[in-house]
Parts: sequence; structure tokens; C-alpha cells
Amino acid sequence: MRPCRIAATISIALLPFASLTTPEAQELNPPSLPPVSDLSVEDKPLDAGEALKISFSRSPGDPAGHGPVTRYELFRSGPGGTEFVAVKSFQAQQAGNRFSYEDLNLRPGRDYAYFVRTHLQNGAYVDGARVGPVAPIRQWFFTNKFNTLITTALFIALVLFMIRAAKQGRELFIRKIAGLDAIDEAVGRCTEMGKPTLYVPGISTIADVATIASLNILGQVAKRIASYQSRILVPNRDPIVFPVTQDVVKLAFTEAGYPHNYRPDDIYFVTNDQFAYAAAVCGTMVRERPGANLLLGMFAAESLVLAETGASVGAIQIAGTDAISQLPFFVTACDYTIIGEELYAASAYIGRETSLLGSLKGQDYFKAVCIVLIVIGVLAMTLGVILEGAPFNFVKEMLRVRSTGG
Amino acid sequence: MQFQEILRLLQNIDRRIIYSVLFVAVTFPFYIDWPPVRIEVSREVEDAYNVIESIPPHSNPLMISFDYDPASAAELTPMAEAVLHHCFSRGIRVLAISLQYSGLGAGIASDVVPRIAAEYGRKQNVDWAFLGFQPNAVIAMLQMGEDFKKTFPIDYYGTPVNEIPLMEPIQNYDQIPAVITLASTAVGEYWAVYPGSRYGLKVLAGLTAVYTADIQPFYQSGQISGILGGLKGAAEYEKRIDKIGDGTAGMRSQKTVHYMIILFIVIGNIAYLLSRRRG
Amino acid sequence: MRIQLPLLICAIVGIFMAVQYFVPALLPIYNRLNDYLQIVYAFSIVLGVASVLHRHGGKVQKRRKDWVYSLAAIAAMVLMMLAGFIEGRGSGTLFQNLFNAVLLPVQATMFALLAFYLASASFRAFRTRSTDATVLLVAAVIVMIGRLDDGRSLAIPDMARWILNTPNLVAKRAILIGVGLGMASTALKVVLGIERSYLGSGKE
Repeated sequence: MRPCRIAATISIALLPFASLTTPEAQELNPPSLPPVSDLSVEDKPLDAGEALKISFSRSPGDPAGHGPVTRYELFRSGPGGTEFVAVKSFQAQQAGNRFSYEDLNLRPGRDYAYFVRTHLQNGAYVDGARVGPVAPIRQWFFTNKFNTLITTALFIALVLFMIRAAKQGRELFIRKIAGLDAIDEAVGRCTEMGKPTLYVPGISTIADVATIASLNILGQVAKRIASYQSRILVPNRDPIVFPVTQDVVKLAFTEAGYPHNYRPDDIYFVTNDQFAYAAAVCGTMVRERPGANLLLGMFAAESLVLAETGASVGAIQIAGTDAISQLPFFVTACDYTIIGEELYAASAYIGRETSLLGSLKGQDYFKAVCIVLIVIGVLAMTLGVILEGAPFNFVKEMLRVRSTGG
Repeated sequence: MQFQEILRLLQNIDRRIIYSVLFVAVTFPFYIDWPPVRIEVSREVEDAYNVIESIPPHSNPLMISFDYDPASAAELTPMAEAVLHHCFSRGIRVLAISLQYSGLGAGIASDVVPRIAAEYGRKQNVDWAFLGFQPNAVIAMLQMGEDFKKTFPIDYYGTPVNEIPLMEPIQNYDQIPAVITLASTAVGEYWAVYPGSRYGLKVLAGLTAVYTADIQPFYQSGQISGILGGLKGAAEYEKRIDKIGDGTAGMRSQKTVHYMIILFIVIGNIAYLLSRRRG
Repeated sequence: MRIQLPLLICAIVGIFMAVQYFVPALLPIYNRLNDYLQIVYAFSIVLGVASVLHRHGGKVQKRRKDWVYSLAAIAAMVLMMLAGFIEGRGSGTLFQNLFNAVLLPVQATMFALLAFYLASASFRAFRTRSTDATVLLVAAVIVMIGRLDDGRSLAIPDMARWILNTPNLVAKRAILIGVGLGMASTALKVVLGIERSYLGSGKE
């Protein structure tokens, strides 16, 4: 036998064992399983151009969770045609036939390409067709928020216009708010009885608008109390609100001309646990027997505990909150209740500063706009149902706030 | 004692008497299984049930957000247990988180979820996972809309989320069929306002009775797909899944207390009207 | 500068937050700011612990009135912290046992007080003093009975549902709209520097 024939015979004999010496799995050619063929790569709508939405269905030869496929692996090639790298692995056993993924942290306007590798149980794999190049696009406006933009711009314009009008000397009417008028009466009562006023600025943080409104009222109330040379107690729940209330009360006493009457121990931090705070304040009410309780700010479940304990010690109680669910408790247990936005109006109502008054009126005029829109919307919807007319649905679509993106 | 004096006393019954009668009214039904209560499943609870029931078993998980603190546990834990019984009995996977700012909700979740899962032999990180808590609810909700793993890089027990099999297909809300928030504060509303409106996530709400009335506008507009309201909501869900629990047991106490309060109100008003008539 | 700098930061960040709501291209900056906010929020918990230690520690040190309770508060806080750090938080740990056996019942008890206060408040408040008060009383009784699914023959559950879903929601929606506009207006004033109460004195 010639040497070349011997070599050829040995090569052929060794051929079946060739795969055992290869460390990597081999791509099957031709594939025994159809590859993933419907890979879809699209720009994610309404984003900063950093993401692509990818989806694909199982290989046709892989019934959900029961086929020869172990996993699907998504590969991506980056800008400039860089080498494909694996970015995400999907287990084949999951329920459903469709896989989806958002590839994040991409570069806007740069091209990316993808393909899906199907891994089989015997270690082999099959590559699907490449899709791309696709570039994520940066959008500059949420087109689904156009109506929100219009109304926001209108609101800001109205508020700024009314502030300007107020500064120019225009007379602005604000109706009486009984709860706010009663604060003077309550403070006067405390002074006559020689008892302190208890002021609870709510349980929320400084980021809450109700707390900011409450601090405004606190400044005015503290000034009145200082001028009457009476005492104010302010227990705090939030550690960030606490130094602010200290500062507000101290300044009030200074501006009233009685800085020496300011007692730092009367403005204190209790705890930031809700019910522990309520228990501590109730204890203060029972021990100190304040003549008036001013519960102004954001409250939760402890509102009734505070209000009932205050009622039991015989104090006059004025409560105000924007937490709608707590209003019934305050209404039943307190003498005066300031409801919702009346709390926000307090700073303008008590202080009568022109810019605050103007913003309050601007807000009111925008409320009138809302009422008109509600009436138009209700009429359009009703007529749309009665007459089955598409033009009325246009109004509904125009007023609707859409989801998706942003 | 003169009749007028009696009327005055009846209008001003000492608080301690009211509290004592209330105490008996609350505790008595736990010992004698009385009064009988009839529970009808409301539309809101039925809708919530249907949403959970429609989730395929062993697929993407239902997200349960424990957004309440121990103060509301008596009202909301029966709800949580009922939902967990429903999920685990059907093989629906559960992804638990907590957005209660002080972490107390996480303490409750870490007790309730493993306990109910163990009853059905469900495996941690395969059939259920608990990712822990985030202090700022709104920020966490918005972050999860982009990337779960960025918001919760490790779970409550310290396991990297990348190593949790249940989390493997989960990137953001697109892979979550629905979330049920168990809340005693406005956090329940935030789920509808932020992930619900912004990312189209289906939101169910399990709330204390006080907040249930607040959330109705969202349910009526379709932003919330189902509501479990208070202990009654928990009892209704227990009835729907045919598993009696603390919700149903608590309804007896609720019944006696309601009627006791009504009785006191009636007594007070009768005394008031009679004393007015007598001048 | 003590006032100008916070006002400037507030204005810049406030305007950015308003603009980013409409501009997708600003989302990465918005997400990064949210990350920073999470860190600031976590620090506020540290601030809370420091405040509690400062206040109660001061009371213990100076032996002020009820200083023993302050000592108990500090001891409880330290115990929970040590239990969590040393043994962890899983089932069966001291931390979890203290949570389940002490914290949970204590908080639930405080919340349960509401039932008693509700009873006494209802007894005191629901009197037929006027037409409004009578309407309130009747509505309250119908809702209380209706929530128990009793009185079906008198359609009380249906009446209760109607009261909760119609007039109650009408009022709530109206208040919600007002509160929403009030919040937007206050936020605008804060961003524009008109509202300065969050700075404390608001003056130099």
C-alpha cells in the first residue's frame, strides 16, 4: 500500500473522532433545526435614543419548553461593525413563544446589528439571519403629551399674569375661610387662659407641598403668639422639617420684638415613627393642656388619635390637610376644618402679600378653565353616545392623557 | 334620678363605657363564632381575581408590593395571604418587593411570603423571590420601568439578582403581567399614576378601607384594574378562592362593632331629641 | 448667599424637571438625578437616627424629666441595629423575632386605638342638630350597615355603594382637582422663589 493511501485511510478512520478534539461546539451545517427567522429590531419610541426594542419567536422546531433547544442567545455588533458579542441569554423553557428585550445604554444615531443563536441540547448551535444596521433615534418631544404641554403653559401664563396684575395694584377678592379666621380667635383664647398653643405641622417631609403651606401659617401664627407674649409648642416628626420650624419660630419671635421669649425646647423633634409620634403628641396634649390645637399639614391614620385626644382635653381645634381620606375625621372631631387647597391658600390669606394673592387668583381662573373643559367633555361624550358620532370622540381624544413613554 | 338628668347622661356617655363595650364587641366573636356573616364578592374584587387568574402558571411573575407598615398589618396581611394562596396554589410565580419607606413592609413580606410558599412546596428564587425594599417609592417605580436590576441589584437576602432564575427574563415592566400594591398610604395611588400611566402596567390595589374610597376614581377610569378594600375585601377574596382565613374571621368583629356604634348613635340621638322636645 | 444659592439650585432643578417631562432626550439626566435622590433619601434616615440620638442622649446625659424613657429608646434602637448587623434578617433571627414579637404588635396596637376613638367621635358628632348633620348621620348608618352586606331586602348595600361611588366621589374628585392645582401653584411659587418658607426664615 502506498504511503498516501495509508494516510488517507487513517484520516478517514479518524474523521468520526475529529469533533472530540474541538473545544468549542460546532455550528450545524446544514442545520437540523430551523433557526430563528423573525428577529425584529426597532427603535424604542419616545426615548433619548439609547435603546432598541428586540423581539423574536421560538425556532419553529422548538415547542414551548419541550424541544431540543436549551437557550437562545442574542448577539450584537456595535458601531463601526465591531465583532458580535453576546448581550442576553433567554432560557428556552419559559412559557410563551415570543421573547422580548430592550437593549439599553446604546449610542444615539449609531448602527447596531443583531442575530440570535439557538443552542441545542447536544452542544451544537444554529445562527439566525443578521438584522441591521438599525440605529436608535433620539426624540426631542413626547408627542403624546401635547395637550398636557398646552394646559401647563396656560396654567403658568395665568399664574404669572395674575401675579403681575396684583403687583400693579389690582384689587383681588378672596372669600372668607372660617378656619383661618379662627386662628386669631384661638390664639387669643390661649393667651387669656394662660395656656400654650400646640402647633402640629403634619407628618410629612419638607418636599410635601402641605408641609410648606403649614410652615407659612406657622410663621404667621408664631408672630401673633410672640406679640401676645404667649407660648407655642411645635413637636416635629421629620428630622429635616425640625430645624426649619425652629428657624421659622425663632425669626417670628425676633420680628415681633420678643426674641428673649423664644424657648428652643418648645420646638422639638420627637421620632419619625408615625404612631410613636402620635402617642408623644397626645402625651403633650394631656400634660400641657393647650388652649388651642392647630393640626395643619399632611396627616395619615394618626389624625383621629390626635383630634380626639385634643377634644378630650377641651382645646379649641383647627385642622387643615390635603389628605382627603383624613378630612372626615377632622370634620367630626375638630371645631374648624380647612379643606384641601384652602391650606395652600393660607399663606396668601393670612399674609396678604401681592404675589401670593396673584398666584392664588391665577390658580382659581385655571380652575374655571378646567370646569369649562369638563362641561365640554361631558357634553361631547354624551352626544357621542346618543348620536354615535365620530366628531364627538375627537374631543375625548384631545383631552385624554396617554401612556407609553416618559 | 330625674328623666332630664338621664337624658343628659345618655347624650354624654363616658368614653370609658363606650371603650369597654367596644372591647367586648371586638373580642367576643373570636370565641363564639357569632354573628353569622354573609360575604358577596364585589365587582372590584372579582376584577382583581380575574386579572391574577389570567396569568399563566410558571410564566412571568405577578409582582406584589408590600407598601404597608405593621400598623395596617391586621387589615392588609389577610389580603396578602389570600393573594399568595391563590398564586401558589395555581403555580403562578410571585415577585415580592416593598416600597414602604422605613423598611417595615419588608419585614412583613419576609415573614408572609416564605411562610405561604412553604405550604405549597414552592421554591425560593424559582417560584418566588423577594427583592427587598427601596425608601423612595416614586423613584423606585420609575427606575423599575427602565431596569429592575438597577433598582434591586441584590435581593433581600443578599443574592445578586442576576443569579436568581426567576429574574432571568425580567428586565422591566414589559415582562410583568400585573402588580398588586398592598398599601395604607397614597403609594397605592402612585402605582396607577406612574407605572400604570407611564408604562402601561396593569395595577391592582389592596388598600385599607379608608383609602379604598380615594382610589375609586382610578378604578372607574380604568387606571386600576381591581380593588381589594379593607378587611371586607380580604374576606371577599378568601371566599373567591375558597380558602377561609383571617379576613373572614375578622368580619364578625366588624359586624358587632358597626352595630354597637350604630346603637350608641341611636341612643344619643333619641336622648337629644327627647331633651329638645322637653325644652 | 445663604438664601440666593438654595433659590438658584431650586430654580434650575425645578425648571429642568418641568422641561424633562416633555423632552425624551433629557431622560438620562433625569434618571441620574433620581439616583442621586435615592442617596439623599438614604442619608435622611441617617439624619433621623442622629436626631433621635442627639435628643434622647441629651436628656439622659442631663438627667432631664423622664430620662429613663429616653434611655429605653436608645437601648431599643441599638439592640435592633446590632441584631440586624450581627445575625442578619432572615427567618428565625433575633432581628426578625423582635420585629414579629415586639414592633409589629406595638404598631398594630396603636393603630387599633383608632377603633375606640372612632366610636367616641361618632357618638359625639353624629347628632341631628341640623339638616346637614341629619343627612350625614343617615348616610353614615347606611354605609356602615351596607358594608356588612346586611339589609339586602331594603337594598341597603346598593344604597351604600351608590353613596360611596357617586356623591362621595363627586366631592372627592372636586377636592382632588383643587388640591392638584394648589400643589402645582405652590410648586411653581417654590421654583420661582416666591415661596421661601422651606428655607426657614426666608430672609438673609
